[in-house]
Amino acid sequence: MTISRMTFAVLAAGVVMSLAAACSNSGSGTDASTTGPITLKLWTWTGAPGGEAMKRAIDAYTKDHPNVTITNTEVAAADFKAKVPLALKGGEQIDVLAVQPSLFAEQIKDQLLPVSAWEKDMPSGTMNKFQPLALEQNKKLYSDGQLYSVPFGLSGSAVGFYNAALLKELGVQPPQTFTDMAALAKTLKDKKPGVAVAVMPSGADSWFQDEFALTLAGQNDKDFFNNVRYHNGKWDTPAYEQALTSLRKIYADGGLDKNVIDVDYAGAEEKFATGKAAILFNGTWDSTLLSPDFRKANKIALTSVGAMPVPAVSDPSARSLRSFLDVTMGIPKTAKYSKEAADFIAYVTTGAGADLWSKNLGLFPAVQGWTARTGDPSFADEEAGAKTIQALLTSPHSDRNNMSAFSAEVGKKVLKVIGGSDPATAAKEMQDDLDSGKFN
Amino acid sequence: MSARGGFGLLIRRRRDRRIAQVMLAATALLWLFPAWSALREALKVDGLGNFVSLFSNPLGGIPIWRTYLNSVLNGIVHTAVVLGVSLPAGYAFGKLRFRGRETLFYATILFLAIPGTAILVPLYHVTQELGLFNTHLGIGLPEAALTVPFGVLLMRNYADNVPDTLLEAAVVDGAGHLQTFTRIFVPIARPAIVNLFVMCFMWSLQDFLWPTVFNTHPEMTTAAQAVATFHNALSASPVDSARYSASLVLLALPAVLLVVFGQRFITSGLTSGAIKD
Amino acid sequence: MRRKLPGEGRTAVLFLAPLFLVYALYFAYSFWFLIGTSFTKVSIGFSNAVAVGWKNYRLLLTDPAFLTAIRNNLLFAAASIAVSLTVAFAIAVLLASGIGGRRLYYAIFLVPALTPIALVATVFSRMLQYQDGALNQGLRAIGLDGLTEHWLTDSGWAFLAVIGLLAYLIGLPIMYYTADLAALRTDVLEAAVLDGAGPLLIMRNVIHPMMRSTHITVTLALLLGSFRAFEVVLLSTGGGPDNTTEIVGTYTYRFVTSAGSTIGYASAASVLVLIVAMLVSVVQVLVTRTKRGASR
Repeated sequence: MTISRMTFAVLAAGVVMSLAAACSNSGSGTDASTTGPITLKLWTWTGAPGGEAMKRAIDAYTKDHPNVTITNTEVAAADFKAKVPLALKGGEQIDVLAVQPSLFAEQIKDQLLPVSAWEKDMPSGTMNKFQPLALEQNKKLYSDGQLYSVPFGLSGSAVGFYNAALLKELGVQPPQTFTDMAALAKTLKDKKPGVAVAVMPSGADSWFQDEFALTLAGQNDKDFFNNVRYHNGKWDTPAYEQALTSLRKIYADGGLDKNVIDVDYAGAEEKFATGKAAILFNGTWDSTLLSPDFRKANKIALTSVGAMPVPAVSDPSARSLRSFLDVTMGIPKTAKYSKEAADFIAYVTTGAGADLWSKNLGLFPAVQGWTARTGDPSFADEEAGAKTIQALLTSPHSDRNNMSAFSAEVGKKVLKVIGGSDPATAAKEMQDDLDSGKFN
Repeated sequence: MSARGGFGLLIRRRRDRRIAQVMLAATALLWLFPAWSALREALKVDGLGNFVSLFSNPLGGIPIWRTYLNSVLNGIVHTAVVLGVSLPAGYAFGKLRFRGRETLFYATILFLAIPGTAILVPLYHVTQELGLFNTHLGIGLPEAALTVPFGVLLMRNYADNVPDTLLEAAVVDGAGHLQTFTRIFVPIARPAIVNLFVMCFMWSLQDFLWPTVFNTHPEMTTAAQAVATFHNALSASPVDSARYSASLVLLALPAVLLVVFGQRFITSGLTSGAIKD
Repeated sequence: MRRKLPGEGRTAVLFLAPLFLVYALYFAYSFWFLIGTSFTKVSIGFSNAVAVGWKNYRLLLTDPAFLTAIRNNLLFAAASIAVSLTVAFAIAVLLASGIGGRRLYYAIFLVPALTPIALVATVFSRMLQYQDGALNQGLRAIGLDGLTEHWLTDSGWAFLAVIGLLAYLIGLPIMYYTADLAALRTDVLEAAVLDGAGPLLIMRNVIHPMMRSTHITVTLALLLGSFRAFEVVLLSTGGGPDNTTEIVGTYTYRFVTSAGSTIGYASAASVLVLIVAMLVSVVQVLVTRTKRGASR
């Protein structure tokens, strides 16, 4: 029996066809004419600054530039770090990319155009309009000293948002220390059973537990995080161990509520929004809660919300947070319209666009001379809260220049400490993880 | 088996029958509890309005029907590749005589347990090199690669049970193996093909890993992936939270339909792909 | 058995060509790529890889979380096997005894197994939340406040929660048993019944031993499946609290999807996981071959 020609032909054709089908998706041209209508592809993540907020700036920009259309692909924040390198590698056209100022920036810098290549396409003087601190932080992101993106917005963590109406009803001032928090918890238990004293992203989003622990550590040692991040400092220092010990004690004393540590990000937001928690700890990016417009649009029924620093373990004057650039804007090499992209970047970072997207707060623009307002001065708690946050952001104890996977790992261990395990052991494990180098 | 003879003997006595009924009913209720809890959350805040609003204002801008469609399209690629590979391979392992056949067959099914997460890194690279991100081919192919060992096993088991005499006549008559394969084996193997077909669709519907990693475009979201995508698109409002719960209920619908209409195929598909002789 | 015909070897090669292609591209290439990458420190962009020798493997084998993950994989598999050999078996036998509402029962037990596992895991994680979860709320509603637990954040309970979730997915084992029960000769049962044995005794001492080959099938299927299903953990406990419920799937996934040069490390983890998975398969093949040999 021999192989018939037919058999061979059919099988060979099958193999060839499957290969051809697999390879048919070829790259697209990069040259562009700028006279006709163009579509700029913008990629951001949720909360950077958020689809609705960005839309205000985009709408205003495209109104002035009728030949430009801008599409905003808003990737879920949790997926962003994995998806963007993938898209860039795949040759996807992205004209403007929101670059996360963490290890991520360094990781993808080879696929970004240096700012020096498109600085000339921005209105002159743009580079001088950024806050000097923001520009300084931006430079720290890239190991070769070049700039591959420009500052867009700032944020910090952790900070507290409180249900001002509820505190007023109870006759309680916003807590300054965790002793105050425990007292508030008692009051709530008597007068509002079922309402947790505070809630924060935890459970599946335990990365925030790292943020919170670092905020406490900053009360003991202002330079703790910067030392680790920039000077090869130790993680398992007495200051950090002390912070973990305090945290465990706070939960034990009722200053924070153990029953809500399985609540994830969305769950924490929902609890606060529906009045089931008096205080929400989160990053300053959540300051949209201070905007009456935002609350109305998202059907959040809270009548008044204030903001405060994370309470102190002992000395209220030590209250602070870590802050850093949260979003920077760059132009990938896969951009089709880099010239127009540069102009748009200038508009949303230092131009009129900044005021538009930041109208409901959330992210704070990195442009000089911007002041946080809620849009309605009759909301006194909100106005004061916005000012509190802006003040905190300008005087952080450390940079919130996070270490991605390591932060998530630390968060899990913090949760375990809250559950009762030994702070010193946990700190030691974190140090070991950091030393191993497997997370960065 | 009828209730009288066979296993019916087990609960012949009235008291035993009662106990069995109560135990089964209690277990079933336990199994329904998660479903009930999902439904309860789905009806919070806005009641049925949650479901309605998912159609007018989909979460994350992705309509649910679109996620079904994507799962089905991935399933088509998945099924086509698995059948295209497993049918001839099953025939070869079951009906052709050649040196090293057993060794090769066992080498093939050694890959039954390969976890997708373990080959995530290289497949990411392969998919990228082939330019298959955000395509149905890009999802369907890795799904198929993981199913192929099972498919070959199922088809070989089936071929084993087809009497040699049936094919021998054709081969001796001078028809090539290709003719014997296409004209005799494939039609005979129809039940096995249908089973494998249903299984592939089921697994495409369940696949979470490949879509989550290889899709960046919202319009490519699949039903399983949507569980996470929708969650990540949630805003702080209680309305959204209830809408998310409602979407979870809707995402379970295809499985219910699959059970109602395809239970028979799944049962026989699973059992004929079992490692047994 | 028919004799071997000339040229059949070449025909076989052609019939197996698509299989070779898939295996070459998706498995052979993958393994080769993984082994190469596992000795480097590199990010998902795969550029500027730095050779680090055996460092990744050293780190992995000294990482308690990784070893816990492998142990958990086997423990979870063992738990779901145990549940299947008892609960699923009993359900299948009861349903085969001609009890009313069979189709409905099958549907109830099978639907969870066919639903995207991601979805079931998500529903469980919401159901098990301490304050708003349906389980605790249900317990409180019937006055059993004492039984409410931190299902997801207490190590022991979180571990049990994952096992409960796996137990919830026993629809497929039920199907295996159902199919094989239908082919079982029942005359032995009649003898047992005549001897006056009760239903439980018959189930345990007569039917269960007769289903030996199905037990093996179920065991192997679950063992194989346990390496694949990582959503079960990812979307319920997320591997927490502090990695106590981590499995190899979630461990690797975490390193692949995080930013930074973690891909070399993830590749080394993958290589070790593949070795374990292949070992499990070898055991399975050995078992099958012995059975095959014995039956001839």
